[in-house]
Amino acid sequence: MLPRFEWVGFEQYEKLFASSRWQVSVENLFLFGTVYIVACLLLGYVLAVLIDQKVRGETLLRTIYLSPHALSLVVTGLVWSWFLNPQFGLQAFVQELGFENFRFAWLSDPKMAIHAVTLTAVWRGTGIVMILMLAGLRGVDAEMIKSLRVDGVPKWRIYTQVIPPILTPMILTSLVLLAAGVINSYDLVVALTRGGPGISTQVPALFVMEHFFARGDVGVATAGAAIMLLSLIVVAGPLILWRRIASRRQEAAQ
Amino acid sequence: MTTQSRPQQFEGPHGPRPRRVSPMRVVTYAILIAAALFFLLPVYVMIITSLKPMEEIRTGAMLALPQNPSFEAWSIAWSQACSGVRCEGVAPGFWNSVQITIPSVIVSVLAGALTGYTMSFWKFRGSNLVFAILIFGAFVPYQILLYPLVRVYASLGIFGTVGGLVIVHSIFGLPLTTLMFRNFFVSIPTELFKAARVDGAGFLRIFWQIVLPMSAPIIVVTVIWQATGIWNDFLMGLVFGGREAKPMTALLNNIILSEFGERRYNVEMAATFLTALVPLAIYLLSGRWFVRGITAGSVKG
Amino acid sequence: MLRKALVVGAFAGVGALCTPALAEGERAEVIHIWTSEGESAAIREVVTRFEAAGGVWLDSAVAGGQNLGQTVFNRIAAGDPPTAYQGLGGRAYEDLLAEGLLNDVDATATADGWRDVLPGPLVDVITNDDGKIFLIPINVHGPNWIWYSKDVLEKAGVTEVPTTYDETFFAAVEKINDAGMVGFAVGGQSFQERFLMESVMLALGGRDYWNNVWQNRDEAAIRSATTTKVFETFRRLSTYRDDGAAGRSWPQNTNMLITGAAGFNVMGDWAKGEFTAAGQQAEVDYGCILPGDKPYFIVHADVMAVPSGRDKGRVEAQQLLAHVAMSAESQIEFNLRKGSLAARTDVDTSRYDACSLKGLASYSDPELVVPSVNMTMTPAAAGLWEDLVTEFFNDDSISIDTAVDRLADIVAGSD
Repeated sequence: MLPRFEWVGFEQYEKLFASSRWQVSVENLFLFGTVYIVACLLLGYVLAVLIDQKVRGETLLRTIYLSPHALSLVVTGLVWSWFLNPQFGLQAFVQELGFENFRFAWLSDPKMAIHAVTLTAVWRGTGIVMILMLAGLRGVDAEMIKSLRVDGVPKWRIYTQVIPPILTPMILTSLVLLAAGVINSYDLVVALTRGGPGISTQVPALFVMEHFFARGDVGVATAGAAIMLLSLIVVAGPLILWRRIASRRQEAAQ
Repeated sequence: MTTQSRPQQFEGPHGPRPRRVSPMRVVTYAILIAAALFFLLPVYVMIITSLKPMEEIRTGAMLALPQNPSFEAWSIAWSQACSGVRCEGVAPGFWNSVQITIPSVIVSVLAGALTGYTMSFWKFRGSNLVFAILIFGAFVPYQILLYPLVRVYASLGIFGTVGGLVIVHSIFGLPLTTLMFRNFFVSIPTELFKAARVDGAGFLRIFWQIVLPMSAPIIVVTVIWQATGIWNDFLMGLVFGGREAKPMTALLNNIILSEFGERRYNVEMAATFLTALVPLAIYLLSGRWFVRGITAGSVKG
Repeated sequence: MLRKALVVGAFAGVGALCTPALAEGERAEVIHIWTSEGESAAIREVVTRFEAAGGVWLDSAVAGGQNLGQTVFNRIAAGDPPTAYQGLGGRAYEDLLAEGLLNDVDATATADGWRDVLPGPLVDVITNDDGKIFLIPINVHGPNWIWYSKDVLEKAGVTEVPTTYDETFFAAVEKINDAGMVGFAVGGQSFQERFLMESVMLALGGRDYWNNVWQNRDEAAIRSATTTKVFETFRRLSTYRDDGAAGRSWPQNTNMLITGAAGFNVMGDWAKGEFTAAGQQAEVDYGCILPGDKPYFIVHADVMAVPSGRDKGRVEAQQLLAHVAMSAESQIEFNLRKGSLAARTDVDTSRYDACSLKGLASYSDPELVVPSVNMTMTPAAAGLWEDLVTEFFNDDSISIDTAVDRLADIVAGSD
């Protein structure tokens, strides 16, 4: 149970990569992570922009979009699993309305189940991105936008070309927040599918947690954790380097 | 979406002039309302389920309205549901959670604001590296960090105290709160900061009098983020916190997550809602602080 | 300034809050997962008796095995372990034992004569390498039961109730399916699939086969025709999954029997909690079968482990807990409420329901009782077994030969 140190070479890594469950986990991480991050960023930005149009009931809408964040994950996982259950969830409901050919059974389809996880995660994660983007929008110089409008720049171009670069810091914050959520996401999977059907919705964090705590397989668990961290460095390292070089250049220009 | 005028001029019910509703406006509201429905649908299921007796939940349709709505499950969830040997609902945890959450949020948000501020305006040698390491910390599964921290706590003898728990929450919150503040401060014009330094203002005075007042939106976001996370945490509470002062979510978890006991979904849903009321209230009340930050701040500053 | 006052106050508060509460001696802090209404009533039977005997019970319930595991791990690592914590009877304690992090309760166990009233396979599990009893076996569950709705079987015209996974069973399932209901309700979660697989394995292979595979690790048994037959039957069962089977929790699955939506399912006897909560009675509204040519029974025991620590009164509290929890009175009262069997076989069983009596008959018979996989395999190997089961059940492209090879590897790879 407690870590003991003993050099065993790469044996644990061989076991790890031979495991079909780990392979599926890694694939799922990329599939889930990409769709989730892109969807949350897009949806969060669009909602923030729309809410920033001086709409009525802004506070209420913001609270509604954020509300999934406040509710226990265990219970929302349960409710989503009901909702997505083809027998008595949305599929049954729509079929009863008369659309008998309606199919929506992602949870029972090993190929689609990971997208059900993504859907639930987007539902949960969009609110916080929205509010970060909104905080960013509230910091954008209104005078500048006004003068652009006076110059005849159409609104859609302002929101697709002018604002996003200004919001880069907020987008980066959201990106880190979402990515950290992806890496550490196992509680949502546990609440919704427990990694099933079969092993189709396994993710690395769940793999590591289960091997560490339930199976007492500290070796394979830490090998998995090490790979997760290593891949993070591989992905994030160049990004950080690039930003540092960019900021040096900026300073030099000044 | 095509006008720059103030909201009451085209949307207010007491606007005196005849209004022209532009198509863009209709689309805006349509999308916002559709999104609201998407976010509320599971919430709807939770509320109607909490109002049904178990018999009806077993047999009835999930999306159907309750035949005889009853708040019995709510009262059970509040004061009678079992969470172990005791069966006192989620109520006993309320004040414990408040006592944990308020200091933890204040301390962790301030800590984030201060580090974010330092790393934006008072760069020192290697501050970028410190920042990078900090951000990296956001990605490390907290279970990995938990173990060394537990050892440190044990040797300091602050294990099992609320104060220790506050520090844990601040440490674990630091990467993201720092990131939020730093990336917000990037957009603050440095002229303001430089002017203050010329006036002889020091590190803390600039922070208090210039930077913080301009940061209302990001403070609100950070408070929302931290308050939700800390309010909903129960595992840190179990590991680091007091044995007797259980937070509300620890009780909630025990009510909703029995793996081998019989389930009462109506009580589970009601307990979930009762526990979520505080974060939801924070989201609602944060509304009036969520104003345009920089313009407001620069006027004052 | 308000802001400043708030901040200073907050920091001062943190300092004040860092003073730990003084620990009293002579009390037991127990971490367990028994939090539902029925489970709570059950554990209260132990708590009341423990406090009547002069102990102080500090309840640290935490639902969810994963949560419990993390809490206990970190508490032990911090040198602040609970007095006792709940776990499954099995091999998960070997590392802790090796590092001297667990006490034993042998003094009480010997004085109270546990070895005379507990079945052999269970005594083996709770005894450490020094021959001392170190776990408190609170109760025993059978995870391999088939449950059925009497109403549904009658409606579908099933007259012959099956006793094992044979043609009679499949004919009954088909008949219920034809009548428009779900014949066999599968709970599509890996741990449920594993219970189903183990139920099939014991039913078709019997006690000797089971022990040859899991205890003696006999490769001939693993590669025998019986194993092939087991995997075939298991795959056949997978074809009866309805649309909603994936991810269906066991309470939902049991509710299908209660509401007359399904005929059969397989689950541990904690499922009785759902039947009881819905007002149904054993062998009146629902039936229970221990499948096989004989009614075999897998021992699945909930235990308490007692960590070592330096605090005063710890050992005394642990011995008292062992004594109270294993008294015949606590055992029967706890288990009546939990729906499980008393670990002791000498308790008054007059209030057991019909299914508990069936279970008891098998549990008390050395010819019928086998240890669970967790008791013979390391937790890591048991986990790999669960992975294999769920992959095989959900992916038809995995051949039986491959599955058997993997099983042989898993068994051989376990310490």
